[in-house]
Amino acid sequence: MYISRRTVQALATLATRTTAFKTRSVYATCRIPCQRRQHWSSNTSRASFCTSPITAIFRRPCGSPSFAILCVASQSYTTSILSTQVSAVLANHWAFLDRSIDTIGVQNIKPDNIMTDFQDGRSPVVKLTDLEDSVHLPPPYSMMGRRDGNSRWRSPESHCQGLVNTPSNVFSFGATVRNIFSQNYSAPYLF
Amino acid sequence: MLFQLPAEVTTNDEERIVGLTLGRTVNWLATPGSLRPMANSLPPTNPWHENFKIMIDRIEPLDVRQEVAFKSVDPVFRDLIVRLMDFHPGKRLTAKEA
Repeated sequence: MYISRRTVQALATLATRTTAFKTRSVYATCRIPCQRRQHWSSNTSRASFCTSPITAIFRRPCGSPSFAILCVASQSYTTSILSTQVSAVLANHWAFLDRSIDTIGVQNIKPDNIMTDFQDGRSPVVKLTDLEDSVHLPPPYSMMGRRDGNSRWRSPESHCQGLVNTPSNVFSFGATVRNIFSQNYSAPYLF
Repeated sequence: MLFQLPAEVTTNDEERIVGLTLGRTVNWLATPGSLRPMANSLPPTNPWHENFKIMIDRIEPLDVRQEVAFKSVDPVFRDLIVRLMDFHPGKRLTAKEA
């Protein structure tokens, strides 16, 4: 897939914008307990928006604040829409990382833990979930001797049970971004 | 998928998972300059302390390996990804720098 220089610049500029949410309120803990596409239609009251080609986004019923981003395998959509919309989502995630870099959990960044409320013409609110078992690690401290998270998004220092800190999150974020922009959508990222 | 495991690997087989995934990470992202501080940050009782030191002298130039792993993405974008996924945690980009 061709990613233009303009898209990369958009990623960088959008990252500097601020979105209106508090740091503490982003810790949504509920997740939609389904794995396959056919379950989603029966489980959700309405598929609120399907605007993005790569990401079909569903909302939980009863005004629950959790959203899920489901990555759908398809090659038929234009890459320009895809790259701008996904980069908008990622850029807000990036802004979130920037804000709460010292309060973030360790080894929690992967595609199915990034929830977003994506609508036309608005900048989406991006939230991180699955922080129940994460650790609060201020900068001078690190974690050692554990192998947390899924092997696909795990950083090398976590693999060899070394010192784990916020750079491990950056590695997981890099793997996430690379997988979203890669061409092989053989499986949705529900791991 | 960058770190997709083969289908026959089960989740209980942790040593094999670590070997496969960490092997790919070293293959695509590591340099001697990043392997050495990584080995030094581990305690001597950790088996990877010795493994990384053995790898330092045997590893090939990085450009050749990254061409294989990241050939489908744009060069500008690849540069960002590679800096995000630097092998040594201290050299990785932070959110503010990016």
